[in-house]
Amino acid sequence: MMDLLLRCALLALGLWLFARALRGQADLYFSGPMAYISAAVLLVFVCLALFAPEISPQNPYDLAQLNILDGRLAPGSSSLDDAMVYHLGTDDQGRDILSGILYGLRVSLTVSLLTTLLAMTIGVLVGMYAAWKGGKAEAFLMRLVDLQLSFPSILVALMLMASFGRGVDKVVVALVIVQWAYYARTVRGTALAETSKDYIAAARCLGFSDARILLRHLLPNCVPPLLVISTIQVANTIVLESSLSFLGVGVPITNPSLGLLISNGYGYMLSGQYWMSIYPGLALLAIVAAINLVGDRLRDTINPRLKR
Amino acid sequence: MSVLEVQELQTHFSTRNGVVKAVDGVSFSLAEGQVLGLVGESGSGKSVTGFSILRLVDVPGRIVGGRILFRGLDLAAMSQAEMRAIRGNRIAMIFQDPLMTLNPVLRIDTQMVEAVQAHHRVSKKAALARAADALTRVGIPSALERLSAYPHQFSGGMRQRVAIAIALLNEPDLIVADEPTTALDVTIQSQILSEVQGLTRESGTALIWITHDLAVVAIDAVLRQPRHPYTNGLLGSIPGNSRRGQALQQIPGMAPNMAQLPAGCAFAPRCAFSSEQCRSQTPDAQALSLTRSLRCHHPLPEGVSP
Repeated sequence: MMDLLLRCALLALGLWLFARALRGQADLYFSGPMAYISAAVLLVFVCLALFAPEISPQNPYDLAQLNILDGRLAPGSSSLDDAMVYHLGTDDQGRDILSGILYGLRVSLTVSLLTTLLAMTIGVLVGMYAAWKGGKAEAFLMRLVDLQLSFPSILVALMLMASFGRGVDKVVVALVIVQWAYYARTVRGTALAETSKDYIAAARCLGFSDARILLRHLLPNCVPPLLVISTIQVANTIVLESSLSFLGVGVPITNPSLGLLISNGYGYMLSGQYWMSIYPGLALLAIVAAINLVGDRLRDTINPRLKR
Repeated sequence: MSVLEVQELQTHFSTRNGVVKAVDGVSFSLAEGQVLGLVGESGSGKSVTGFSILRLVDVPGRIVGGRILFRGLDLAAMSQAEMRAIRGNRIAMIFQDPLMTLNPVLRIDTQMVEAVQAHHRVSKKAALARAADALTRVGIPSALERLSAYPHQFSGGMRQRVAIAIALLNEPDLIVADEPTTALDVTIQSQILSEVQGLTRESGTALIWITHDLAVVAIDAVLRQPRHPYTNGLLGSIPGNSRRGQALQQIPGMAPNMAQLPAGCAFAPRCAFSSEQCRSQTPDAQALSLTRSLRCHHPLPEGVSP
C-alpha cells in the first residue's frame, strides 16, 4: 500500500516538474500533433512502468508462476492450463513477454533516471564551480571533461562494466562516469554567460555570500538548458544501458531490462520466433522516440535563443 | 565628517596588451546627503570608480593604489567578510539596466527579504513589511500585491524603481548609481532622477550619480563656467546648446586606447590648446576653490560660458 502511494507520488512529481518546466507556455509546447502524441506515449509508458505489478498478467520474477512447458509460445496462444493468454507470446522459460516488457521498462527507466539525476548533480556542481572559480581550477576541470568526452561513451562504459561485473547499481555508476561531463560542459557555458549579467553583480553588491549567490541566484538561471539536455540524456541512457545489457555486461539476468530481453530472444530470431526480441525492441524504440520528441519540444519551448 | 573620501584611487587592469589604467589618481569626498555627479565618455573609468568603492572590480582589475575612506575606515584594506557586511548594508548600488539587475527567476519579495535578512536578524514578516515600505517610498502603487510579482511583470521604469527600493532597504549611508537612467525612457529618466534625489535628501544618504549625460547632472560651477577644454568640448557637443542651422561642435578624434595612453595629458592629442608641455608632462591637480580642482596646463580663462 505504501509502495503504491509512493509510486503515485512519483508520478505526480513528474507531472508537476513537467508543468513547472513549461510554466505558462503550454500552448507553445502543444503546438502540433506530434507534441500531443509523444507526451501521451511517454505518459503511458511511465504509467505502465510504475504500475507494472498491478497491470501485468504475470510476475516474470516469480518462478512459481512460470511453466517451462509454456516455453516459446507464439503471440496469442493460451497457456497449458488455459489460465491466461500470452498476447505477445512467451520466451524460452515460459515467461509472458508482455509482463517481461512491463517489468523491463521499470528497470530501464529506473536506471536511466537515476543515472541522469546523479550525473546531472555531479556535472552541475563541477560546471558551476569551474565557471565561478575560473583560472587553473577551471582549466583542469574542463580538460578533464574534454578528455572524458573524447572517448565514445559505449566504449568507456563497456570497459567499466567489464571490470565492475554485472549489477543494476554498477550500471548506474558506469553510466554516471560516462555522462557527467555533458552536464559539466553545458552548465559551465550557461553559468559563464549568466555570471556576467548584472543581477549577479547586483547580488554581490548586496553583500551575499558566494555560496548563496551560486545556489540561489545562479543555479536556477542555469536550469532551462539543463532540463533540455537531461530529457535527451534520459533517452540516450536507456539506449546505452540496453546496449550494455545486450552485450551481456549490463543488468543481471534476474532483473532483465529491455536490452536484456532483446538479447535473450535474439538466438531464436532465425528460427522464426521473432516475438521474444521484436516486441521488447519495439517498446524500446517507442519510449526512446517519445522521450526524444518531448525533449525536442521542450527545447523549442524553453530555449529563449530559439524564440523569434 | 565626510561619508566617503577617495584619495588618489588607482584601479588598473593588467591585460595582455599592457596595463590599462582605468582609474588613475582620482580623489573626491562626499558629505552626508551630498550628491556627486561622475560624468565622462564611455570607457573613461566612471563605472570602474563606482565598482572600486564597493571593491567589486573583476579580475584582471585591481585597486593598486590610494585610499577609500568610508566613515574613516579604509575599504581598500578590508577583508572580504568585512566588505560583505558593508555591501548592500552601508553602501548600496543601482545598476544601469533594470532589465538585468533583478534575478529573473525569483519573485520580488524573495529578493527583497533576502537583501534585508543578509544584514539584519529580522523575521520574514518584518523584512516583508520593510520591503513593502520601500516599494511605497519609490512610488510603486499597491506595493503589497506587487511584492509577489516576478521581475518580468514590471515595466523597465518600474523595475528600476524596484532596484532603487532594494538599494534603499537597509538605509545605506551611500548609494552608487551607475547610469541608472540611461536605459530608460526620457520622461521616466527625469522622474527617477528627481525621486532618487528626494529620497536621499530625506534620509541624508550620500549619492554618487554616474552618467554620460550632462543633462541629468545638476548645473554646477564646473559646467556653468568650464575651465578645462575637455569639459568645454563635452558641453559644446550637447545638441540643445547649439543654434539651429549651425553644425554641432564635437571633440575631434576618439578617446585614447587605455592600454597605450599618450605621455603627458591624456587629452593632448585632441585638444586645440595643447602645447609641447602637454605632450610631455602630466598636469598636476590645482585647486580652484574648496570644492573644485583642475588638471590642465592651459585652463580656459575664468568667467567663460560654454
